[in-house]
Amino acid sequence: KCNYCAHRIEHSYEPACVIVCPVEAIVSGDLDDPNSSISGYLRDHETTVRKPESGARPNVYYVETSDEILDPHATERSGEYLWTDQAAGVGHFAKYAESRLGAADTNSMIVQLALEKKARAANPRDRAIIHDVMERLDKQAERPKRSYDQPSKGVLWGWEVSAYIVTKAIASGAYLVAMLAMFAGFLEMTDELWWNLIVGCTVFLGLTGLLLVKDLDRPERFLYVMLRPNWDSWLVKGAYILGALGGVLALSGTILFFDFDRVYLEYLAIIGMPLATLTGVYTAWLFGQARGRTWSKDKLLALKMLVEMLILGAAILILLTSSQFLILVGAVLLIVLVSRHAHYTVLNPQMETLH
Amino acid sequence: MQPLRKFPDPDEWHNHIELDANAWPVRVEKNYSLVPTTCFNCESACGLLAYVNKDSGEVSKFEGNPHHPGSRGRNCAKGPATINQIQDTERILHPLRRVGARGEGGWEQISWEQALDEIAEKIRTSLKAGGVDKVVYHVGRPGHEGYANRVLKAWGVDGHNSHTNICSAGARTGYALW
Repeated sequence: KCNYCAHRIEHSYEPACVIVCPVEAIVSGDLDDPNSSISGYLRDHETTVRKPESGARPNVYYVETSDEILDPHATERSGEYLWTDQAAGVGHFAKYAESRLGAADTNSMIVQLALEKKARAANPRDRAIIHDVMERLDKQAERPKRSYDQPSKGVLWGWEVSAYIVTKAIASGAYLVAMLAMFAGFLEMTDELWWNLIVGCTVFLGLTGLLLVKDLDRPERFLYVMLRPNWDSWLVKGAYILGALGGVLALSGTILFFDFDRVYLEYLAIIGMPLATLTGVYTAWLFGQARGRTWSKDKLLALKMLVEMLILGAAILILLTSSQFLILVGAVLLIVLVSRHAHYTVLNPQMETLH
Repeated sequence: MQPLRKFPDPDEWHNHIELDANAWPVRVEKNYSLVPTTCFNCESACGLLAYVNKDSGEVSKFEGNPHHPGSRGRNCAKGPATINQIQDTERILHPLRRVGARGEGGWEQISWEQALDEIAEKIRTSLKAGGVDKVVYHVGRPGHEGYANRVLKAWGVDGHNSHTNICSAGARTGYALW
């Protein structure tokens, strides 16, 4: 991937692609310096960028380009190409490409060979027909065709992402709804109920943590998120908020275990409730930071996640307090439905790019 | 930020320090001595800079020579690809004489003295017996300032067979006549 030849910039050389281009098609320089040649170039020429609507504000400007050049999906794939077939896997899935490569190559190679053989060995009439068809195809091809293979990267945010959203919503939602109900007078918190709630929330919070770590490409580096924090990122802020909620739950457990005055649990809840709310909702702001992805454009995502955590929290509370069979079944159904909804919300936008 | 430059200055050619591209973000320094040379892959004879790794003494890569008045730092793909030719196993590094029938691919290494003696003997015999039409000088690409051509002319031999008479002479004739 391009890193702007950082190793060359360090020694004040231009990027390699700029040097090697025989027609100087690439212009590089300091965009922040109004006197630099690139700034002058941008002032004198009309330029476009890729996906300006994403808000990503890219620093790569294209001169005299077209939609077909900027957007790989603007052209149609015009058939299998022997040596450009990257369908096996690139990038995130390169490690699986080895095992899939055999299958992909053989298939398209067989098809290609059969066609070539037919074209060569055909009698004059068949050859004329093939020639006619090809001419017609060529005429159709006034629109630009794509001759490279842009492989889909597949699903990058898989089941772990939707799963941790749900487990997090359960953990934070149950605590939030229980505390809200308690303060509103609808719920009487017995010790047994406190234990069940605290243990349950801690378990689900722990599951969330495990899933978060498992989802990382380099799980062994998960501590970097906390110890080398980038405070601009909701990944970091969320991790600390999650940790703080875990702390509140741990303290609550301690109070119960050492049989301190139950009023302290209510004091803790005053910090715990906003923490729980933030825990359940912060993922929406994290998705919002991932500019260029479809979820970032959804302004209501935070509200939607709040509603989901309230629903899940209420369902858990029903499971903890009710004994009526039908109501319990209803609660389980609710949890299943919300989980499926979360799963499809995460997966569907990624499936759109598959072809 | 100081303005970016394209090529290292000749002052630093003997002590050129570069960072390893693949090791980034770890900064691994590589010490090069840049030796200007000429590409031999075609008649354009573009300038190249050989990046000689000071630690190993081997050529690591070829890039353009900005001070070559013709190529001015740019090359086609063949120039930098010359790195593949250096260690090619099929490079002929010593005089070889054929062993066995033509086409069998049998060769034995002989010394320079032997090679020069044998070839000289055969050329002299041919010149004495049949005259100047019996000798042909074949070379892939002439690159020796025309010395061999002077020898041929001294012998009266009009038998220079190389890239020149097959390819570039045609172009040069056009230039000369147009």
